Amino acid sequence: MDPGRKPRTLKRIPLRLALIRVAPISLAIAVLALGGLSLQLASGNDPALAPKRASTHSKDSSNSPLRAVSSVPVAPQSQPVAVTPTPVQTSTS
Amino acid sequence: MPAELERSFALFGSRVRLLIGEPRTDSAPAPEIAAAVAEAKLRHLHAELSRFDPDSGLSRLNADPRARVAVSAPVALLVGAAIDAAEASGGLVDATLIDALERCGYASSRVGEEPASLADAVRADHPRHPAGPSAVARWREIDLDFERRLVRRPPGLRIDSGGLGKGLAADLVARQLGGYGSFAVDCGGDLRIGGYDGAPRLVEVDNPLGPGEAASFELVRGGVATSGLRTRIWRQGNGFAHHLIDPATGTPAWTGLVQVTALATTATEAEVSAKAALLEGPSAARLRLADHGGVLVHDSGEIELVGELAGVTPPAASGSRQPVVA
Repeated sequence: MDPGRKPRTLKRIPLRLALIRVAPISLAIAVLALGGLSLQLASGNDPALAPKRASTHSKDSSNSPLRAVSSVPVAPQSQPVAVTPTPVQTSTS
Repeated sequence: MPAELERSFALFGSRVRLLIGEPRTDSAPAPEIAAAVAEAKLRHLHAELSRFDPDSGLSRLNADPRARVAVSAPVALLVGAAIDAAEASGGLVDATLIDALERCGYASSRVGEEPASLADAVRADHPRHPAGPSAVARWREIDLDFERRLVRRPPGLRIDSGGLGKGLAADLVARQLGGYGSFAVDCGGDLRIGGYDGAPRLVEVDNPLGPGEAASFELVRGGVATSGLRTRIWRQGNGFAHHLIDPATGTPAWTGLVQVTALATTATEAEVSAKAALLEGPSAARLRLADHGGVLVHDSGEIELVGELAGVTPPAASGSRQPVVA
């Protein structure tokens, strides 16, 4: 926790997220061909979804709301079986 | 070919849908267990963040007469997200407009109420102009000590969860699903998509002014959210009112857009982008959505793909995949 670190805003993109966020379509396809980049979101007792603006009393204002960590894929339990993801819909509610 | 596990239930005044593929890591439990854990988490979040439930953590905060209030973790996250959303949107996504919402007729939940006709509403004589931030920007009076979960604000200043709660819930649940080949968390239309396998998932965007879908695209991972007028619109006097308030005027915004779908890294960010884009109108919306892409539905019925989606051919039309990574 770094009390001197300036809190982020939604407009500033941490490098680790920028690698995913701005990847062009061609790069995304290349990544898929190589086996994919695993997004391991940090978990734990304290939610990593820390807000970017912290009060003057708060020590930590630096944690990414979603602490995405690229990692080497762990060996799966068994031979992966391909699953076609189910379509989803987005609408107002 | 195995299918994803699917679990669906009513929550957040809408439907939640969980889709979970096969485990890909040794630590990931069976999808059935992951779905049960996710549902329990979502129900807890809903119980904490609903402004219509007087017993929710958010309602207790809003009713507390003290200037500084200790809150639960979900409420602290929501308050932080609300502050960040207002900053990122220049004050357009303003969570302190409950008074204005109630004056417009949204004092209680409208779940189960038949909405007024959006087609009739766009034909009514509402001047169109971009929304603007509130001159008083009361969201700036909210201070959050996230570490200690303390909210400081003038007593009586109420905070609304709005769509932020759904996006936040989707992101929180998605954090536990990274060890699965594929997953999608759908909280009332706010989506968080991903998975170990990196397989593209078809996303269909609802058309509020016509039959079928407005657009479709394939997404590898990221957040998707849709903000629009259709489901929360009602007759008021001789005109219409809806729930997307122009902070500058305190009245429903009529900007020329009736629905915006935004892509982002997370569902929370997508929710903020979608709402801000709808409120600021077509020109500014195109700039806001340029990075990750989006879908604009104009009140003329025109459907416009912007940003990264502008060059994407719908899978049904081309038969080929152009997956998008938000």
